[in-house]
Amino acid sequence: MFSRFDYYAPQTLNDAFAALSKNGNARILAGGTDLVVNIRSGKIKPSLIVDLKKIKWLSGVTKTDRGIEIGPLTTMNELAESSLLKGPYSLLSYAAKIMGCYEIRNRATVGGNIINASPGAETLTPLTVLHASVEVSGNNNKKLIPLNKFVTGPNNTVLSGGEIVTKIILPFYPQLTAGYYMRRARVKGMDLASVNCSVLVVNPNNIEKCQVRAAFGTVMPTPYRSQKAEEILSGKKITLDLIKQAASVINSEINPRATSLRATPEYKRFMVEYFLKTGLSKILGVTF
Amino acid sequence: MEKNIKFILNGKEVEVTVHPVKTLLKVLREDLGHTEVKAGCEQGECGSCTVIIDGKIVNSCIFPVGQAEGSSIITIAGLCKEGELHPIQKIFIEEGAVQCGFCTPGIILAVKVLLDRTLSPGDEEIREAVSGNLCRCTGYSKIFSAIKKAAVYMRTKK
Repeated sequence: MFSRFDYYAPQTLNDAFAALSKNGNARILAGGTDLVVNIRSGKIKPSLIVDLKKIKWLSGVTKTDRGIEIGPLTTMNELAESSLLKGPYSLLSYAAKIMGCYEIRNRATVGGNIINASPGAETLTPLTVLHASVEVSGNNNKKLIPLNKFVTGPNNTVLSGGEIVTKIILPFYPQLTAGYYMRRARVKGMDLASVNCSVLVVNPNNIEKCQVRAAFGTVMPTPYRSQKAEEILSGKKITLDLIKQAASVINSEINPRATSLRATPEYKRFMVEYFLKTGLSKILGVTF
Repeated sequence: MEKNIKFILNGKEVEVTVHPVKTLLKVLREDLGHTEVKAGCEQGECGSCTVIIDGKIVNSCIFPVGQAEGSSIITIAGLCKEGELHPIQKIFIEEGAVQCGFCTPGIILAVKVLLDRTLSPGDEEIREAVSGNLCRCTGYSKIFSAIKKAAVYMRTKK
């Protein structure tokens, strides 16, 4: 079954680019939790597998003058345990900790999660509200793409054949900025999210400067943020009435598909207000 | 496109010549005869095929063997020392935490890694540690009490 394609584990990024440029039907192997399953089921038929495991610097979380930099090969358990993903970033490590099960989290990578771009991908809504940028490297160039421009649809990104994601960068935030990740699944353990949501409040202690961001997963093909709803909630004292207004704006903008395997559009629409209310009350420490 | 791949299996160096994207599960069972590693869903969902690689549990059914090069791998057979069962194995038997036994190798390895991390795991931590290992017989309550008992035993023995 596996004899139809080659396998190559380059030591450097340049060797990886060279291999990718020679082979139009190559696929990159990170943790393999999706790739290996998709190869076996025949969903994808690559002619070359480029395994990035030997390029060690593609893994790990560091703090630089650009912000918090996350290597694409960082596993979910490494995100969950990272001492740098606290405070404003804690919703990302919390989402990573919920994903799959312990075995899977030792293998699944954040780069794989965003490139696979499942509509309910665990890391997508936290990274969206954190305004993550994706560093995409090609043979002779490097560019930074905002995450919301990087993911274009289910299982689709702007990444072209010869390119590799080399970093995910999170900007710095004022102290006290806080977020919360929520998901609903059919069972508590091993399941994909039926619907999920991340809420981030920048400057929660300063009403005028307070900025609310909320991203919803599985309600649209890519994580959905409503500019209008966020404006309703930002820069003022948040009340239940404002939350209801914002939820109704979001519900007028989204279009959850009826063919989803995991939840009906009605359920997803119902969850919008619940997620906003729960997220904001956890972050602000008030009950609505 | 086969390659020579070397790794340590239950303390002994082994070498196989296989396609690097063949799964570790198939290599262990078919090429090395280690059928104590169970093939369940083969999609990374059920945890029957769990092995320990460099101290971490993984689903061997979605692990390309090429990535195991140079690693140290432990299967359930590697937990016995000189024919003596590991305390976790003994306590699972005593507590009746095994019914059909298919999930047991994976669960015990997941518990081994949990107890290597902490000998005082909380209830939630125990559930979390075996959340990737499906058992369709026991309903988990005996597994759960065996894990608690194993933790106490290993803590007091230390």
